[in-house]
Amino acid sequence: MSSSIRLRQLAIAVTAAVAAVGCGVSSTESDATAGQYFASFGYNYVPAGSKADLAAQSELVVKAKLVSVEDGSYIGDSPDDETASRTARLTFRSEAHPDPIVLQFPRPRNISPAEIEKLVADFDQYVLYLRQPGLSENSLKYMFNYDPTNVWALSTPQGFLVEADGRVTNPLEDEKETIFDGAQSLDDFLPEEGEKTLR
Amino acid sequence: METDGMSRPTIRKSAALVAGLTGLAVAVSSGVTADTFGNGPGDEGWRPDNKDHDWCYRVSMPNPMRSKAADAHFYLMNATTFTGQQQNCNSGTDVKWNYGGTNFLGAYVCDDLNGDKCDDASIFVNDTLSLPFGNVGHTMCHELGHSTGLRHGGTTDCMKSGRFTTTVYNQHHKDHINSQARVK
Repeated sequence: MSSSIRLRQLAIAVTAAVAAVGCGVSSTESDATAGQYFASFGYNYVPAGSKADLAAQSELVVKAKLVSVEDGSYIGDSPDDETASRTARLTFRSEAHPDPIVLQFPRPRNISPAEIEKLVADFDQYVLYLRQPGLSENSLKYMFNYDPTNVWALSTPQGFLVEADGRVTNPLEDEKETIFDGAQSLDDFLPEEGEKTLR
Repeated sequence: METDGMSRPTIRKSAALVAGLTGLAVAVSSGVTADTFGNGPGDEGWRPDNKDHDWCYRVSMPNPMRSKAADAHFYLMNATTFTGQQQNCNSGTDVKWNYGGTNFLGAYVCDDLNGDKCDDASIFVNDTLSLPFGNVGHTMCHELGHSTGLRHGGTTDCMKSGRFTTTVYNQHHKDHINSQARVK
């Protein structure tokens, strides 16, 4: 792997030099697709057994639209750790909830927030099953540039539904069974009682 | 996406996006039990850059967890054709182990996509939800499997999501791992 590292370091150095002289060349375009971006991270989690179960685990279930993607926190050994894992802050707005809803998703170093925003440009609307993030003390200790304001977490990856061109899919979920069998429109993916707001 | 406060990004790669979403929809509805193996563009998951799978521990990893993570790597090397050794963390380390997380048992994150490969990745083991150790071992094996390109699937091995104690890959997954195309 050492030769590839040297090549990448050389490429980074050249890119940095180009940027330094003001050529305006983007160094972060990765040619990834939205599906590839969302496949760049995965979770082990306890799947909800049904839509009702997922709703019961959730404090907030909303239909929402994405309004911005920004650089988020990073996780490493220290604030200046260049090998840290990066995240993006995806901010949503929902008519059912008065405040912005922020989700932090991982992002590879070479996919910028601006590129993520382009990748999801065709995503018209979302259904999100959410609860408060369960960040432990140890997590927060090594998470830098973290702004907890309005941050939520998916109850499980099953709770991230995307509508694009009239089709609803879950780009995070690759299990072969779904708790939303028979659902067609985005509203079908909501709990039977509709959106769930804070009590 | 709303347009207030920002211009709607130029629509691009829509065909690829639709194709990707269609593929996901087909996979969800097919009911098949065989899982997929990441192959970069047009597929799910990301293969590592090669079979040399070095690893390191971030300072958040306590010693007992380091030992468990090492066990997962040693098992991978014994059960498949992957190799690797522990090293100090650097930008090229294939797997960086972290302790801590959000609402999930564990997470795999590709930190650097390079063409159709993932050059280096991080694994996060939840410091509260994955206990007791049996679940930690399963989660470590699960996330390490992601780093070799595996996606979810199977009924009896590490790549099944949830609280399990299994810490082995079935033959199907071993075959996938060993078929990783680019050999060092």
